[in-house]
Amino acid sequence: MTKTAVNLEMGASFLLILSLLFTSTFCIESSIEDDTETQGRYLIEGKVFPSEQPFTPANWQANTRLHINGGEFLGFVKEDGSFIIHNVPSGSYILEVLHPEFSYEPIRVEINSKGKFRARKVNHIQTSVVIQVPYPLKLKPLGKTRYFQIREQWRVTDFLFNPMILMMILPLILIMILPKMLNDPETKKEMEQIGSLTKFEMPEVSDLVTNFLAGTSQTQQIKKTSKSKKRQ
Amino acid sequence: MYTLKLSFIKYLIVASFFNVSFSLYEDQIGKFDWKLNFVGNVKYGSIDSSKRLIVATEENVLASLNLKNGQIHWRQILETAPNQIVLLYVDREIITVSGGKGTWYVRGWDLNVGSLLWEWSFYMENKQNFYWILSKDQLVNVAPVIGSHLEVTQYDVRSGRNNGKTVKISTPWVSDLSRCTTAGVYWACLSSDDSSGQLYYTDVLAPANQVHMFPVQSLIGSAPGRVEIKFLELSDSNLLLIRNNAARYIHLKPDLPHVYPYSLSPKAIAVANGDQTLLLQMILNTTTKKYQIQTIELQEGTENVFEMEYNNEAGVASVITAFCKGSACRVLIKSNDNSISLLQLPGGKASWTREEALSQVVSAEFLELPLSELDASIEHEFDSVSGDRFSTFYNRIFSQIRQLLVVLTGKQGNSNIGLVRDEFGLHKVIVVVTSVGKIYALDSITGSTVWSKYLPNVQPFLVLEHQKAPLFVQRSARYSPLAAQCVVLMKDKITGHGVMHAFDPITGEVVQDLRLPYRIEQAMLLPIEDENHLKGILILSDDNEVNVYPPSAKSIILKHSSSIFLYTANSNTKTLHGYNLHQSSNDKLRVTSTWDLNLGQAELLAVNVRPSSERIHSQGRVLADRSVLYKYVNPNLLAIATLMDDPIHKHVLSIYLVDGVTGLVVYSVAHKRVAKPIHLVHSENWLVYTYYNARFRRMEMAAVELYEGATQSNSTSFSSHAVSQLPHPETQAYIFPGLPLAMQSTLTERGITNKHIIVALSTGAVTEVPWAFLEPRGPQGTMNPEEGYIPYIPELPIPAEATINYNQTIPQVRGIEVAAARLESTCLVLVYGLDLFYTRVTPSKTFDLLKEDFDHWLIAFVLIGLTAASYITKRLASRKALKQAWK
Amino acid sequence: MASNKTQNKRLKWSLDSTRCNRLNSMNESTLPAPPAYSTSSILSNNEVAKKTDTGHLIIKKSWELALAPIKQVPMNLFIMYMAGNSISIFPIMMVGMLFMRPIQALFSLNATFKMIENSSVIGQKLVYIFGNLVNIGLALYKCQSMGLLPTHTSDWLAFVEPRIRQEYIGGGITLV
Repeated sequence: MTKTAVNLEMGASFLLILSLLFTSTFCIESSIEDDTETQGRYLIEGKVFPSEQPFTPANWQANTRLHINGGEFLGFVKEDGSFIIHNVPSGSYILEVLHPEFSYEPIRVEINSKGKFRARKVNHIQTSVVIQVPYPLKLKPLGKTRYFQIREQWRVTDFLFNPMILMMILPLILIMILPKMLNDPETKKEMEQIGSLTKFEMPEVSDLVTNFLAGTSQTQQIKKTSKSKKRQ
Repeated sequence: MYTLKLSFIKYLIVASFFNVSFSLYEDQIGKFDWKLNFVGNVKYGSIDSSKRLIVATEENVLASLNLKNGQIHWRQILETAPNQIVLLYVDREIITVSGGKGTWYVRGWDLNVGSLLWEWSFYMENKQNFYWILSKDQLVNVAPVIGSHLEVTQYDVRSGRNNGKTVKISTPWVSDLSRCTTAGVYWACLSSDDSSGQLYYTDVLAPANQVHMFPVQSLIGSAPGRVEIKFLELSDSNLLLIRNNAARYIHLKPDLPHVYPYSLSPKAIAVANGDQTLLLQMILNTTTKKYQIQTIELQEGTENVFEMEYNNEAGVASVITAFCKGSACRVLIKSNDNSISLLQLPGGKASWTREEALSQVVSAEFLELPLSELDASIEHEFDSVSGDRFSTFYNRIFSQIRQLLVVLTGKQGNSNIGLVRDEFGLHKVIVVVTSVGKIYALDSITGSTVWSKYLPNVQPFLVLEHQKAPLFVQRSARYSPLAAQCVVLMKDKITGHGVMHAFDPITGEVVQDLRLPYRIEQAMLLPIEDENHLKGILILSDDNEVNVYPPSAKSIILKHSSSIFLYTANSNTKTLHGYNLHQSSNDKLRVTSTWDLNLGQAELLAVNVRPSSERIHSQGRVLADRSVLYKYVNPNLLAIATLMDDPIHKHVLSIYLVDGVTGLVVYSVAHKRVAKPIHLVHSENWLVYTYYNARFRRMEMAAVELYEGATQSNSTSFSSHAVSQLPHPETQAYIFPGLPLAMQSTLTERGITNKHIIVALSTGAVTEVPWAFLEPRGPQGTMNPEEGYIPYIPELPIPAEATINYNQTIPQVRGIEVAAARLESTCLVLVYGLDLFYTRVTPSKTFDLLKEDFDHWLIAFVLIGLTAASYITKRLASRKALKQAWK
Repeated sequence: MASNKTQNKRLKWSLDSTRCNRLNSMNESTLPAPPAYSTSSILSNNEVAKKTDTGHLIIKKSWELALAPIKQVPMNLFIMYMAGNSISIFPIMMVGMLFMRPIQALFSLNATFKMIENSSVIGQKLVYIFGNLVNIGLALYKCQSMGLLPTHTSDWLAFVEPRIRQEYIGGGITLV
């Protein structure tokens, strides 16, 4: 009996402690979200990550702000990058992270009247497309914002690969360099050899023809002279 | 997928257009732009350990200034109005309490960098007055209910935990909150205004809640005069009782309040000096008429008087805070023109001054500078009246000799130093009117102040919840030796009557300062100049009387009385009226009403007219079949935006284009289920307006362009009375992925360059949207690529390269002012808000300038080299030919 | 003799085989003339024939010159068709050529017709001028089809002055 009584007592005290804990947490919550029955004010929380380690600027937390709907509610970033935006009533909001050097993608956060959170990517054209993003938010930068255009550098390749230049320079090179190459006696001999190799067959034919014709003309001439000689 | 790909391709095409049309190069930063940072009208300040000054301002800015030179170390901008910072406490960290409209935020900031350490908030019903007490890590909120009790809630300052209870302290003696204040942990009230009343006080933190009551007579004696109670910052349980401009320092204790015998001024403050308390106040030395600072040690009563070497025409308003170490004090004072200075005592000299009035710019105007003396003399030789040749010859020779001397010696002798017009018209003077009544003239190249003038007791007009001070340019500096002249109209703080201040914008000289005996209802700059090239100002008073400044302009009005029309839009009665002066006679100028427009129940949001100095280059648009579609250019067109509440559609936005002369509604459109913010930009023959589409929850921008048709009705002159048919409108709407705070279109001298719309976003970036993106192009598919249209994109891209202020974000932008430079490609832009930012914008790139890195020397070298080479080769070739011929 | 000399002057580059014979006949006169043959009549016949021949030839040549521009019209048409309607270097060069040739021909009208020293070449000159004008007309048509001629209202748009405004307006939202 005593054992059960002790157990009961222990259980009762345990229950009491538990209930105390619950009520205290309930009180803490109600102190932060006051008047939940009339307004339905919620917190939006998340964490902002800076860019990768070597490029993290100093004091990025002080320069980062969060805007809800373009400034209706503001959020500031603590040292570890976490943020909480207080007192947001239910509805649909666009959350943007602003930093002068980095750009982050905006997120649409929807809080329905029951207190359920949903975070999705912003799509202005197709407003009902849902690409969900984890909540509590984890926001990473898209990259360093490029405000400036890089000046066009003049490179030698631009100049050389211009078609007009190519059309002018290459023939110039060919005209100037090739004759010099040909003037060299050794190359001349080689060219002649090559030329003679290729033209070797041809002279035979023309030679034969001329010989043939010359032969006949010669015989004719001999005959003529002999004839004239005979005459005279 | 297919639509995604298509839109991506379109985005690529569009992005390529963007790259072609504008951006900055990294080496151009700071070359032709400048930014001035401000914190605002300082409300609370605290000097921390001789290194930092922490200020909280009325513009909801928390900033840390360097104590030595006054530069901003870091700045955090909190929620905008109606939120306000109500408490600033600096110890090991900065604690701010800010809020309004029932929501309160308590934040703790790091002293060195300004990052957030902790934050909590709570929401309370919108009761009218809250008082805050911070003591020993407890934040106490006191909400008095008049006539019955105080509701006191305690919170732990860092975590926001409270015990959930609101203690009610019965205080039936609280009747008028202007006679009550908090003092440390006490809540004290006076029961009546004179010395016969009682001083009640109670400790709000003590559980017993005992109310102490003492007659005022016993504390400060009985003397005639009104007795007031005043809160003292930085002090524990102390307050000031003021009577007849003399104050007494009273320390509240549980039993008897201790009255210190020093006679103080009502603006005295208490300063901690080590572990002692000093009372610091400003006194006026009646003999030298100069202000002095007097410090009184509280316990011992030793007094020290220091001379102040600080002169400000506006007069010093108050001492915000001070920090003393031994006998050396640093005192932060604020003047009536919202500028703050740090004085170092002993010595009394100001270490630095910050002109914080420039954070509340109300209107701005760009002004041309006069020609230099030499150039002016060259121009003068042509308009000499005497026509004989010898004198003109002599003048010319003389001026040329002078020019030669100038070139040889390299310096101008005695002409204006620096404030002369440069060749491209980029050097201008920006005249800026601030809401505190101070007028500044800034140099557009450097941003430094040329001159400034404080007008006492004036405030700007409140127009549709914005502050506005009309600034008119009567004569520009083009007609030397006649000086330029500007007029600014403001309202007297006390009487509400009009104030007219005419001045020379280049030198700041006052031409005339008039306090008018009537209220100004409307003012207009006359479009016609008199023989001195001065345009008069026509002022309509609230009893429909017409006044002209200068009075000599009356004759001009009488001559052109049938072509001058005045319009006024009344937001309270929701009507628009048009007036004409044709019934004026020589003795009295009279306005007669010509048209009225009733807006019904709608709330008037904006009325916008085309800028009067705008020139339109082409009168029509070329179509694909080489015919012309003429634009409907009506210089008298008003653009009106109204918002009406509707049971079904929440709000309905109506846009009207009304002719200001006849009252004819040329175009009207209604948008349902939209919300603010709504901005209008009206230029050339088009109108661009933005609104928030509440159905799709996105910001949209719509453009309306008016065309007359294939023929012009009258090719030589335009008259609003001769209207044969209504113009044909083309409209189109786009999605804008940002929240605009202010919009303006660029302005160039001849109107040849493209138009860009400069939009200031809530993110602090100021971006340009080309008009080519917003042009109404007709439904998709019917547009002809030959006509030069960009394909329709439903969502306007905001690339980062289009941001004209790169990484210098400008918070809380209030307006944008543009002006044309003498270079056709350049437009000068000033963005004002909490900061001032000026830059040059080139919507079609700098097509009329050589590029900056134009290599003159390389081209000259190459040319000379090639010519020399050709000559040399010619000679060589001829020599070779000769040699060949001799062989 | 005199007529011979003048004829010789005029036709100094012409090869006349009969001349040599005449000379020979003058110097040697060995061979007797055949019966009923008289040299003078032949000479006169030849002269007349030559005169008509050369005159006819001259007129023929002058007409050829006059009709030359008209013969160029088909070739120009073909060149126009091949050049195309775009605005780039080749069509512009072609159009320039089409313009410059007739204009240069018109200006060198007298030089061209200097060779024909007969009196009545007015007709030929007129036809020549007409042919060149037709060529210029072709070039203008080409310009028109390329869109270079300012025939539409949009070409004169830059000269349209902005309209003078008759009424002026001022004011704003009420400041009270």
